[in-house]
Amino acid sequence: MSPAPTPGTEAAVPIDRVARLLLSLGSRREALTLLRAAVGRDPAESACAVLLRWARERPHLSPSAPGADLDLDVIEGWIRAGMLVEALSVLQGTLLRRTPEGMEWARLLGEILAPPPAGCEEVFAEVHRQLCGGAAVVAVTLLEERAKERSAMPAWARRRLSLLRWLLFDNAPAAAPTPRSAKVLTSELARRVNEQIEARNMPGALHVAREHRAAHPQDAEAGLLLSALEQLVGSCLQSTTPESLESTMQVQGHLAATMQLMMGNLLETERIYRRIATRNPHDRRAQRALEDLQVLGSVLRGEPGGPTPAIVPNASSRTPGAVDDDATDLALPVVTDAMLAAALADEDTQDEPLRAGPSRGADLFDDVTVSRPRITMPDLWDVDETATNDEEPEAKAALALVQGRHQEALMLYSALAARHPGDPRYQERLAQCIEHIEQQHGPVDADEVTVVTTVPESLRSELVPTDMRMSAAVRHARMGSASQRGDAIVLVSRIVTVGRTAS
Amino acid sequence: MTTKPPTPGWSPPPEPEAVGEALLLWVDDDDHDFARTQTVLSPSYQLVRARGAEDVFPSLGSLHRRLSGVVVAVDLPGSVLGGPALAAILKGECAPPSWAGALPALDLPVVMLASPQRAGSVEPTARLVVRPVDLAAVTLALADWLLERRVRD
Repeated sequence: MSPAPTPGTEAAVPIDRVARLLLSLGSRREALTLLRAAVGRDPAESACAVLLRWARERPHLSPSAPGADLDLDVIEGWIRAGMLVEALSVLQGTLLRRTPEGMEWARLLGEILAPPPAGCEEVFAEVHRQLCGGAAVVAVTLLEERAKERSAMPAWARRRLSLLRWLLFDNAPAAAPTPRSAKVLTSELARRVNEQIEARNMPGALHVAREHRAAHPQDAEAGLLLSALEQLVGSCLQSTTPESLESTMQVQGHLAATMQLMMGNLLETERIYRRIATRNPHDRRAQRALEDLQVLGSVLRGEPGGPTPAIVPNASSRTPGAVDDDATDLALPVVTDAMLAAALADEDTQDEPLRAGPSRGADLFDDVTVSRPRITMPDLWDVDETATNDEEPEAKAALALVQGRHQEALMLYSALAARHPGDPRYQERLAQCIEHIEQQHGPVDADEVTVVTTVPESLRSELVPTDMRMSAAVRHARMGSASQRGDAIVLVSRIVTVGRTAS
Repeated sequence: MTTKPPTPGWSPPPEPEAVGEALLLWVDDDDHDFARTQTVLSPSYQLVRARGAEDVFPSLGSLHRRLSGVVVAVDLPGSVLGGPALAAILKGECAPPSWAGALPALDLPVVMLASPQRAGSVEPTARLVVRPVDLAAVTLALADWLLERRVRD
């Protein structure tokens, strides 16, 4: 069973690493789409921007392929976070798409992300742009608003809305408890409102407050809370009306705060509004939102008595170098030539093993602490200590074959053969690799001779006897004990069953 | 069609429907594959068929404002122009033949369609879907076009 991912875990897999993995597997187009989606969604993805430029300028080369967690849990985490194009790119670019779950997800995402008919209402075109830009919550809000209008939505748009509701709301995990909501909720009203907020249902919270106010008109706390929620939820709807959205809408400022609010992330909402208010002390809307958030917090904490004055930090107290989440825009981040040169220099020394902590150059590719993943693509190209700096995959593959690293050679030639299916040389080399592996480990299942699974000692007993197909190998790796999963290294590119290596 | 959750822990998705309206010009000579493709893409797309370049150019004048994209098979037996040449013309990368007449300016994604054996012959920079076509592959190729424009902007 695939457990529901913890919100936020999707960030644990750097997208540029996944893209490099796709490139090394020969899924070049999917890698480029993944990178474009990441850069368009978040300009802070500077490593993706550099890699995108690198890959565009070198259509026949692949960078090194570092280890990266990659399984359906990651995909589902991305989907829940609205990163739909990214999720679909990875599904399409790996063998995950061959699994029943992967196929079903790909079909659903393919439908949700399909373009609207040409010449449709602008709001539908905007919905599509938002979906492709990673702002699924904004997209569903736009559709919800459109659905309220007098004229009926076309069937395809109703269908799209129902899919998005299902994706984002029906299956949304509860919002992570905030310090506020974790405290004792002293009133029935506070408890019920908090339930709705934790379910990411702000309109539901408003509905609860209205009900309570109607039933208890003398309850001053309920009056304060209702007023605050009406302001906050009302601003949500105003912020995302079609008229407010330009074709290249930037997800920043008030809209970013609104999106966080719609997801029930009150602390993040407050943080963004504080930044807005810091930058522009005359922004009444931000000030008002802060006041309303404080009222809401007071009630949830069981501290009735009205809001305290909004505290807006002095502009001079801002932390130097702090990330301005609210100031993000969708433009390509500036990648200077120096950064690119550093990154490319980094690529030139890609045969060094990945390491944790500070690294060379601009640290654009190696700034992530390497941990033992559950399912990991092995750092094949990082183990070659003798390769020269400017080698291409073909040279690396030849070297691996000559040096007797047949499984590695097989992987590299598989990727080359996938990119150049008409080139008989790679087929010959593949056959040589298979022959060597068979001599070493026994016959290989010819039909699926395309994946190499490198399995640690702890898992080998489970893999014998062989005939293990890729799906079975992956299942073992996923379903094994914690230590087995941690140790398992399963390379899914095209498989060679090597279960007999255990013998 | 399935209504079960894609993965455990999710509720069943809404019932699939064939309500797609995004119109694609599908340039392919393979009748059998086209029939299957129509069915597979029906939740999100409607297809207009052309068998070769001779069919494409006359229909573009009336169709181009309604199109969301063009998919061109690499191999077009019987067509005056091969798939890559036709795609290049549609993308404005080279001039159309004189017999094509005046073509409207197309601001559309053009995606190549190829068998697995022929996929390697397609330029690595071109968008590509490989037979047998599925909904996700077509959507991803079209989304990539939009994203590329956005990133360039």
